Amino acid sequence: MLRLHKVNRTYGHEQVRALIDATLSIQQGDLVTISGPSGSGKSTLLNILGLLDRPDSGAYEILGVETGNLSPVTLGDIRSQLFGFVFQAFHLIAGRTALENVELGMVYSRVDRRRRRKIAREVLDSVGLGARIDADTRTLSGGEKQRVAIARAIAGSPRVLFCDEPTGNLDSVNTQRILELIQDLHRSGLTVIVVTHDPDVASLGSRILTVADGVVTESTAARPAHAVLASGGQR
Amino acid sequence: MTAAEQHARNILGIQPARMQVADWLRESAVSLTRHPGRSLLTTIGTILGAAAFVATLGIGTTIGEQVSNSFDVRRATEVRVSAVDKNDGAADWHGQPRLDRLRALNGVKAAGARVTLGERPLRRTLSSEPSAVQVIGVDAGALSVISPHITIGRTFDSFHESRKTPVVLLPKSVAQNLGITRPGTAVFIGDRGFSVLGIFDDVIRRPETLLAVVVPASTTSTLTTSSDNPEFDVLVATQPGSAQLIGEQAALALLPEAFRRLKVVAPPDPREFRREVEGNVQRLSLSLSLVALIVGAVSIANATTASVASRTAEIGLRRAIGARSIHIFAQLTGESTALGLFGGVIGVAVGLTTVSILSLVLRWSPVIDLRVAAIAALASATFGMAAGLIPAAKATRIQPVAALQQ
Ligand SMILES: Nc1ncnc2c1ncn2[C@@H]1O[C@H](COP(=O)(O)OP(=O)(O)OP(=O)(O)O)[C@@H](O)[C@H]1O
Ligand SMILES: [Mg+2]
Repeated sequence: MLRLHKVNRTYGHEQVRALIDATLSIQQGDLVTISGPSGSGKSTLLNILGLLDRPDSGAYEILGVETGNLSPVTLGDIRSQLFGFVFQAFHLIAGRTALENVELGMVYSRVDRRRRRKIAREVLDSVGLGARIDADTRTLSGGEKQRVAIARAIAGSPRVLFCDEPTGNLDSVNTQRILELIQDLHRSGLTVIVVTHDPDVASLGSRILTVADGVVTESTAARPAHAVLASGGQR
Repeated sequence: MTAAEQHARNILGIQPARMQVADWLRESAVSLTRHPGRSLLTTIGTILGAAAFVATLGIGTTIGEQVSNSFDVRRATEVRVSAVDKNDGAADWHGQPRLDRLRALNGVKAAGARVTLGERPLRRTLSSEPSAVQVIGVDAGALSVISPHITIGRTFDSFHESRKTPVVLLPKSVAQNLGITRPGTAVFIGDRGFSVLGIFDDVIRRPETLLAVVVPASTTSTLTTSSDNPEFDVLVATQPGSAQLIGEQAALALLPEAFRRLKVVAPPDPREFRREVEGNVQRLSLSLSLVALIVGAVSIANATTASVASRTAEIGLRRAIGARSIHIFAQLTGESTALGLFGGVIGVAVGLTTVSILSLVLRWSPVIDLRVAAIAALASATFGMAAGLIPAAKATRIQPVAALQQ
């Protein structure tokens, strides 16, 4: 479904090589975890996969379509209609209710208001926040905020859900809930890509990628323990 | 869009992102109303600007109205012609044929000669104690220029003038002094008997008449001796707005052969004066309030820039979830336009209140052009939009990656 071939990304004049010849392919229904030490290039990889950033060289195909020549406008349309995003810092809009934040995920993608409302309610219900739909998101706990963010990301029925350190700001109880939610979504057929530096989170992947100094390697599914060990050792 | 790109879009099954107008308006409105503090801070400059605009213009027109109200409009239809040299021998410059030429001028309503005799003893009977009173003689034309307001009896006319009938009009104060309440009573000017024809309490022109007794000009010859030096002048009443013009033509009409020997006094046209005063006040207040509006616009631009900076993450998020740059641009300009309009409306209200309170305190009648209020509100909205353009354009360059990484 997503295919990277020899993708490179270098930042600024200091020539920080954040991603070196990354080659990988992600199948529909995968739950991919990307782990590695801080600064290794995990977010860079996720941003390129999520079309939030473009590679300097190499090829990136989505459903067989090469993205290198697509205009920013088309990339934006792909993001809003095929992808969903969850960030470590939640990025909910302050002063708006949970419902309004979830609706926002559909404002730019041709869903009329009534349907938006209905979908937003259902999705918030499905993440266990049915009782707090009208709460100002500033009054929610971290775990609740992240559930709103996940609801927003999946409200537009994306094909792929991108999560960058989704549990980075959460305590262990909330981390557990969010992970269960993500696994549920995966089980229901969604392709999920999760960046984490937490080995426990990484081990949940059906496919486990490790990034070190910009080099992406895949731990074979047969040896998940090794992946956990490796990423844990690098921390 | 190239065919290849369209083909790619078809394969992926994506449609162009779209933001409905209702959503655009709602997003802008929600952003503003959920952050009232931020909105108020942004709009405070505009409120002040619009308030200053409406208040200064309102005070300007109110003062202008006040000034022109305090103008004696009647005085402005009056021209007086006299000899440059009081002892001028050309005694005939105010003769009837010459006056007729003056009356023929376009814009002259009435004209006539007046002779001011100076103070004369006035008494009820020859044996009573006299009091000194100004005596003026007027012909029918001059009398209608003065237009005394008769409360008792009646005024005299060309009949009395041609017959040299010894009649007199008394101002109310003089009549009261003499204890005269009825017409027909006799009074003595010097030792000449005159019959009181009427009593007046006001005049349209020449207020000095209120302190003088008025007799037909033809009768004044019986009141003067050769040693006297009566003063002649010609009084003209003009149509409104013609005083200046008649002032220029009067001397020539009366004494074409030597018009320089006549002196003409014509008041400035009050309407012109009013226009000038209003113009000055308005130019001043307009420039003041333009400055205020510009200050308001700058403050919106400032606040919008600051607000964009504080909303980088939000804007980045919107871009990440599919907002096009035009959507970001439209939302931010929409917000700043709405803020401008909102500030303008509040400012107009503040300005109108200011003018009303000030007028109340100073006992003026407030004059406010509602078009000014509309202009202020619209200008504020326009300034708001203009002020939002640059920050909004900058915001479209916010990259989601940079904005979302913290
Ligand atoms: N915008 C940027 N400009 C310059 N250098 C950057 C930029 N973004 C990332 N880098 C550098 O690229 C490298 C990879 O960054 P990246 O954010 O992908 O790491 P990461 O694995 O996500 O780290 P972390 O676990 O701390 O989030 C780092 O050395 C980082 O300093
Ligand atoms: Mg990162």
